[in-house]
Amino acid sequence: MDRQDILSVLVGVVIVLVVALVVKPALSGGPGDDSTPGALPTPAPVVTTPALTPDPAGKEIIREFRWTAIDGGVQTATLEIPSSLFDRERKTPRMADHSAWGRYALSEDERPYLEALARQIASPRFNTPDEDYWRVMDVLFFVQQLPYSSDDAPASYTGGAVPAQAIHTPGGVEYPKYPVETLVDGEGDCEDSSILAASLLTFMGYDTVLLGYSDHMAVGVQMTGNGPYYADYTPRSYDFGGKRYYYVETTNYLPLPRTNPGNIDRWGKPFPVGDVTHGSISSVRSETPTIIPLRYIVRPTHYTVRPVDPLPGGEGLW
Amino acid sequence: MNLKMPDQEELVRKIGDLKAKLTHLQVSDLKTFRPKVPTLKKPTMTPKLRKALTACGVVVAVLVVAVVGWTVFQVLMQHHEVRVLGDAIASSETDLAALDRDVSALIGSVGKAPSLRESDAYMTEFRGLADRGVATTARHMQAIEGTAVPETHLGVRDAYLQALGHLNRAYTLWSASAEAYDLRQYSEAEKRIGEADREWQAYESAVDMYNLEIVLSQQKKEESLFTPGTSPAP
Repeated sequence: MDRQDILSVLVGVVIVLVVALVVKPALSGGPGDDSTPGALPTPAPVVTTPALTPDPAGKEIIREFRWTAIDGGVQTATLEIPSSLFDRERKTPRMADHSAWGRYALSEDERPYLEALARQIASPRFNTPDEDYWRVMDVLFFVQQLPYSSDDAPASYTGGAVPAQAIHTPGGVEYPKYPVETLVDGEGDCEDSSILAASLLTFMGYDTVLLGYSDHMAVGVQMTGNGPYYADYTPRSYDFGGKRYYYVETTNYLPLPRTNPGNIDRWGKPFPVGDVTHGSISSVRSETPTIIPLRYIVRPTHYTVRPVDPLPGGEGLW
Repeated sequence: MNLKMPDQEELVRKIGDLKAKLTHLQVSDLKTFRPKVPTLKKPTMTPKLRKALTACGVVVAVLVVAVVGWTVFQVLMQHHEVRVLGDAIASSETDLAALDRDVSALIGSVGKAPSLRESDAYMTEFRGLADRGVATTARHMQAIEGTAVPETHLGVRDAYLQALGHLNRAYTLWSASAEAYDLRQYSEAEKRIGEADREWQAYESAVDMYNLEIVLSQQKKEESLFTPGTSPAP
């Protein structure tokens, strides 16, 4: 081996080291605390604040999303929707009754766009055990990393103002968003992220419900025999209509300060399916939620008319 | 009066004479025999008395005809009223059965996971059927309430009206539930349909009571055959 060969090897080693020590951490963040069982460390930026990018004709709204996936890598997805759809949803009056909020998640007009987004977020995992579980987690990683913002903050909305359709209550402003509104705004509160998650999961084929607490909202996903062996918690589930729905948190992705000095990125840990013990919301730990089915129709239990016995007498004579 | 017993010789002599007379008795002798019967006089009737008796007879005959006629009329009238009530109930049952078929078809038509469009279409039809149920039950209640029935069938009519009343309220609650759905107040819709289910159970109990009242009415009818003169109820 001559000097040139040694130099080539050294250059190669340097390149590998630069990539491993500088480039990769810069893209995906560094390692950190992964004390929550079932939650994978996620060295990544949070969802980037989407910029409104109307197409040249002014008819499309395009959103680029970038988030930390379950494998720790950066995942991206693009949403393109007609601006008319967004405008229409924005102008639709809000429903005050929480029990009807499942309607937000089932918009037929939004369905094709949400199905396309779901394919990017949670692509099928062929020949993977517990595929159902992992695909739910894919959606959770995406949804939980959407920044939290309250309904009464004008900055929560594209356009910078609380929409005219918001419901003003003594407790403040209530504005449950349609899934495309949350995606275009790029942020939302617990009911917005829950409606979005429920919508994505429903269009992926999962049976989902909303879980209503006194000060919070989450999602219930129907799964059979969910009990990850590595979890140090008993997955919380609720029975409704003969089915078992597991608690799914859609906010509270825990951002943790990076150990690398000077790095402003965050990395965190999402709440896996069924975990109510590691969150900070006390109502989730203590209350039994109201189950809000996404689909609802009035279906009486009793509706069959009973024929009465014929009245004897009165035959023939008159 | 001499009550002395005749002596034996005299008795023998008289018996001998009587025997001699009986020996020579002939049929012609019997014809000439005329017992002494007093002659009866035919009573004489004055024209006034005759008229009075005739009038009494006519009155009695009229009364008998009237009583018999009234009884027959009453029996036929009761029979007719029972038939009218039976027809009214049968008509109500026919309409309710048709409504029941439509409701069952609608409820059976919806899948496990209907879309919003399917749900809304279902609810529109559900509300239409509920309103039809309200109108149908109200119409038949009015018709049956206006039907005169014999006293024996008062319980039957009241029990059926009670059943229809529960059904009317159940359909009204269905309609209210559908209205709450349209207003996107699902909690209210669920509350109303829960109340409707309770009304429906009360309706089923009322139908049991109606069937029992039919048996009782039959018993009363049999008893009333021995005590005629029961007047029809208003």
